[in-house]
Amino acid sequence: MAELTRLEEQILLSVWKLQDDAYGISIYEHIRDITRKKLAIGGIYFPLERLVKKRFLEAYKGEPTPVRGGQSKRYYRLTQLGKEELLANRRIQDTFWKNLPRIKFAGEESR
Amino acid sequence: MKDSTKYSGIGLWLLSRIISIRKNYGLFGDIEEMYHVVQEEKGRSKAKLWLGMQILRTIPHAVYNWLYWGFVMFANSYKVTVRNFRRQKLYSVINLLGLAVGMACCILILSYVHFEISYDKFHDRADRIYRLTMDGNLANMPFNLATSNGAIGPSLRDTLPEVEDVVRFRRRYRSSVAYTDKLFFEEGILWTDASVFEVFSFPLVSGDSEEALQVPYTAVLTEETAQKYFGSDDPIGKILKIDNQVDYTVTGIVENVPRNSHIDFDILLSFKTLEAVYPERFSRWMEDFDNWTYLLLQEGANPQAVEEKCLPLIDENMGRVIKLIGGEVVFKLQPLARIHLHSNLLGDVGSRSDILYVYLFSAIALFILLLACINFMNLSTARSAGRGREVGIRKVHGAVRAKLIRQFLEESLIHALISLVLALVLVQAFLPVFRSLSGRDLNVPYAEAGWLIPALIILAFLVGLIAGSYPAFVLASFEPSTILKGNPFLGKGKGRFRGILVVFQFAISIMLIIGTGVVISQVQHMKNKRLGFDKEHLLVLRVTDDRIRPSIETIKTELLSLPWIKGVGRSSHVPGWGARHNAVLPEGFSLENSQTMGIIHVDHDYLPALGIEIVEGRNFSREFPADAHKSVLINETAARTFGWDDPLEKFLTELDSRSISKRVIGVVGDFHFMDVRTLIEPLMIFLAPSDTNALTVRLAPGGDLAERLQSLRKAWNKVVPSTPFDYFFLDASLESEYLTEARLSRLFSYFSLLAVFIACLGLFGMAAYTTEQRTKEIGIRKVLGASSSGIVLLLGRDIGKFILLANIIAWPLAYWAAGHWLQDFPYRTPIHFWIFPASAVLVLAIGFLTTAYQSFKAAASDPVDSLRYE
Repeated sequence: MAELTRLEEQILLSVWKLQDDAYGISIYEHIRDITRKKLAIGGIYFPLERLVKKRFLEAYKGEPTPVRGGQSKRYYRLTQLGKEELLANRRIQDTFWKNLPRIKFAGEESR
Repeated sequence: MKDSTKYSGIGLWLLSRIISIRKNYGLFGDIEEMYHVVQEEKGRSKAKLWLGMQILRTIPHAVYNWLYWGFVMFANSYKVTVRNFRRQKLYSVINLLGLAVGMACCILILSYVHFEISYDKFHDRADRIYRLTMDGNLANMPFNLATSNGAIGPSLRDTLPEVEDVVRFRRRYRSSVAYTDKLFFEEGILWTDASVFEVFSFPLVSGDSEEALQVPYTAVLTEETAQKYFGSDDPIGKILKIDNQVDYTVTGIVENVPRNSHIDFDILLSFKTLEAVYPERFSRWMEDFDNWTYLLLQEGANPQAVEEKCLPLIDENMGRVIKLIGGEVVFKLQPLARIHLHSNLLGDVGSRSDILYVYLFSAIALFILLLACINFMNLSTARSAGRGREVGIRKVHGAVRAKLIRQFLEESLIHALISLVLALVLVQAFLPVFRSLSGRDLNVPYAEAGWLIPALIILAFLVGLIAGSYPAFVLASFEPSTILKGNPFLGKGKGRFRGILVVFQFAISIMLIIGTGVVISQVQHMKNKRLGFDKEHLLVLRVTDDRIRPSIETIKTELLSLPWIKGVGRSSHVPGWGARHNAVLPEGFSLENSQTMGIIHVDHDYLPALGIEIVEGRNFSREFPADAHKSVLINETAARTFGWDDPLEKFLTELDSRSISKRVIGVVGDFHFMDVRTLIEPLMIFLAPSDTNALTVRLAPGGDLAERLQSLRKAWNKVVPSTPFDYFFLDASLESEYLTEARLSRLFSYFSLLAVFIACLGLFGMAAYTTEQRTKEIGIRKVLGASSSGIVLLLGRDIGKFILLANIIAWPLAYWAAGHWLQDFPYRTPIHFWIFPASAVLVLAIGFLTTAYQSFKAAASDPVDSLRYE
């Protein structure tokens, strides 16, 4: 299917980073802290479920916690496929960045 | 406080509902947790605001998500649909085309129906306008007249308070109209009152409605006609010369008459002109009945009450004459909007139609659509029979039932929608044909009937859903093991239904084919009917200019000097024009038993020129000068009607103001002076050359027609150079009398074609289904030694049975219907019985051809393949 969108890439990376603590809110906060953008909550959950559907992520139930009245959180974890997709994405990015020629704009000191 | 917690609770729940499409455990907890974090950081009220914003901002994501998955699923269905289409090209094309033809047909017929019922409704005051018609019985002749006397309308307006206004129309015969050097013959000329612009909604585009048509010798033209004569010049105040004798001043230009108006004209002339020229004709209620009278009633007036109030007025104005010739007359008020479809009167305008046709066509439209839909479903089902394995494999791979149902439905929907698009293309392609068939210059009312397109889309959806539902629900519900093992199809019940359908469709096809045959043979019968005169090589020159009547004898002499002219006769009417009618008192009859007869006026040479036979007595002769006043010829029908074995020397008296008795000097053989569809009536022929409206010229056969016409024109112009030469061929004009029947025969052939097509679709579907079902049987038969031809015969036998059954149903019905239709024709063709077996053979052949593809494929298949089917 189509390439990953930027948001999807960010979500996948967040899940990777957060490891065992990757659930909706922690992912939301992680992205917010790095990008300084405040997404809508739906803006996180819909892509999350879409990524699960595409098998880049797996969802699993956490232990029920008393704080939530015995309900458990929905945690996410990266799959093999998701990791490969991320790496492929990065390779593409790197290739784009590789050997870029110098570019100079008016008023800019050449470095 | 408590309330606000509750609100935020609802908000949280709502948000989690929006987000969670599938069971999303923990989501509610997540959102709640976040809400609490925000609440702690920014306070309760801010948190609530935050929650509200979150809900709003989530909606676009939710919509996007829904669309995203919808598209992914649909893309898959689309792919599968396209694959199936490729795999079964023939079936798919036939299936799509079948539904498309059905829908196209339905759209066209709906346009026709929409057009027909829209007639005359564009007049703002349509609900208050009524046409005055006359019912009654005079001189033993019952009549229902659409026309009335010109004096009646104005006197009703003056005496009855309910009648607000009145408009009269009167048709002027075909006349030449000239402006400077431009000369055209116009058929669409009406005399009318100035109130026409008040009562009807014929808006003037230029000229003053207060002044147009107010005085004698004024005219109003439609935009199109004005353009023809004046181009871009301003027509107001210009002068038109009509029939080369009278000048009319143009006082207004009116918008072109809408196509759905039963009153149709190109030029309006002021009725005041007629009243000025013939004052006596429009002051009494009798004699002249060639006008249409329309009344505008007051708001809320009751037309029945007006009809009753007319009775004493009729007695007062016409009572004496009615008593004299015996009978009665009443007036009826006919609502304007009903004239087009609900009127069947003498003197109705030409474009009249019948509500029966509207019902009939609507029924046919529905019927065709229904059959097309059923066939579509059947073929879809038959097609899906081969897809059991696909379903099985999908199921084994974990497809749930709901998904399979959805896929089949979507596939069927895609088909139905493609059919709709195809149907719209077909409609555009066949619109011209349909226009000439229906005799109406109509368009598909996409704009006028805004509901049409949405309705069609909904229809396509419904058909798609219903057609897809059978394969969807039945196939999807099978156990994969059963489907994968073998043919999942099903009991005989469905097959029997399909059989009934095929029989039904073929019965209709056969009826229509027989109908076509009967209509065509009736048209032939009318064309070949002996008319009582020799219709070939007769040319008619119209005489409409009063001033040339004195010169007609000179024209005759001039024409007769041409070697290839065999005869020239003068007459008031020529065949096809009918005759004038009046009450006549034959010798030996009492006044109460007076008879209505047709009367034509001729000269000495007319009957020989037409080749009308004198069966008894003699023709008018120049040797008997008294013929002009004292002699009359009658036709055989008249002699028979009056019971005269020896009609010669009997006397006839026309009951007009002079009431002169004339002696019968001869009897002519019956000839059709009306059209061939009407019975020949009793006829009197007077010698009165001064009443000439036409010169009939008999040409010798052969010769160069164009050259001859040129010489005729030269001869005419030599005598009356200022009057235009206007002619027609009698046989061609008689031919146009059967236009209705000719159109009907075309309509029938198209409908038969369509019915056969649709029936074949049904047959094709059924054959596809049964052949599929019997794959294994055929395999076993072949292994046991059946030949290919034997198999084809085996499969064909079923089809033969169906078509035979259809014939048994169709024959008596078709015979009855044809007989019923022919009742309307006094001169009718016998029903040729060979048409019946011929149509059966035709349909049988078409049926076999339709199924041949499948039968031969099945018969030629290798039994190894068909038995390995499992």
